Amino acid sequence: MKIVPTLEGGLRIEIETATDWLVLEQIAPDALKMEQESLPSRLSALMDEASEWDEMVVPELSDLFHEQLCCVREIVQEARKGSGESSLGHLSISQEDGDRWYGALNQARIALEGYYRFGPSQEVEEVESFPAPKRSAFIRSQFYSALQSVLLEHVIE
Amino acid sequence: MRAIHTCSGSNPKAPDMNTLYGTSATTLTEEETRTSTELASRWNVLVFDDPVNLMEYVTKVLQKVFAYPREQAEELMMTVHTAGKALVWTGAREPAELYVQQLHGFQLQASLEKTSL
Repeated sequence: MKIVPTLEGGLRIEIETATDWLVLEQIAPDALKMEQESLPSRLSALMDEASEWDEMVVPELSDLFHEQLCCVREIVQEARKGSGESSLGHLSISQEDGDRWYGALNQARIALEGYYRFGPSQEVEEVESFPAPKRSAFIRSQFYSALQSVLLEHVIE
Repeated sequence: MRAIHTCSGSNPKAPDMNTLYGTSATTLTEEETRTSTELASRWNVLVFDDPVNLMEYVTKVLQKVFAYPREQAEELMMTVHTAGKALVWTGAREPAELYVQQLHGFQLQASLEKTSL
């Protein structure tokens, strides 16, 4: 996979293998990994009951976070459809969608961290000792983080 | 509870309505006083460290939400990173809640705390 900034202020992702598609398609499912304890509810737990956060704010945040995931899922699905049977292809992240992509990737990383508890830093040996699903999730999380860094550098103002 | 104790002297099964009304009014006044005191109080907006949000992102969010200059936002972000939390704004409850709502929208861990003053 290659990620290239565009002249319009967005990003173009060049898909080189079938695995690249799989990783991009995994963003939304990863974000929903902690569905039983949603991100808005977990953030709400930081507030006192008197603030009525659960009633007033959580539904709005749920809509916002859901919209970010839908946007990313649709862009990946459309791009994959456009590539036909080939594993090669590309997708574009417009400057306008930069915040949604960042938010969706963040949701995915927060959920994976909450589920697997990677911790702040990992030594290579430690990562290699992870069971296969955790190791694979850790690598995806690292990729999401790298894509977020590129978004911050080239897309998000 | 106090109303029932007061009324139990005359008739434990039928609490005196005047006492009940009096207590309700007192409770209401107490609540009003508490509410107005809370509104008049100053509130801190706190941002907490977490293992996911990128430092550059936290800086940008603080710039966006509070319109802080880059240097100030970076300094606050570093406090979050090193101390585990940072006090990023102080003021009335209503705007403080709006700021926390925005910070949650950016997926940062944030909360409110009444100032000790």
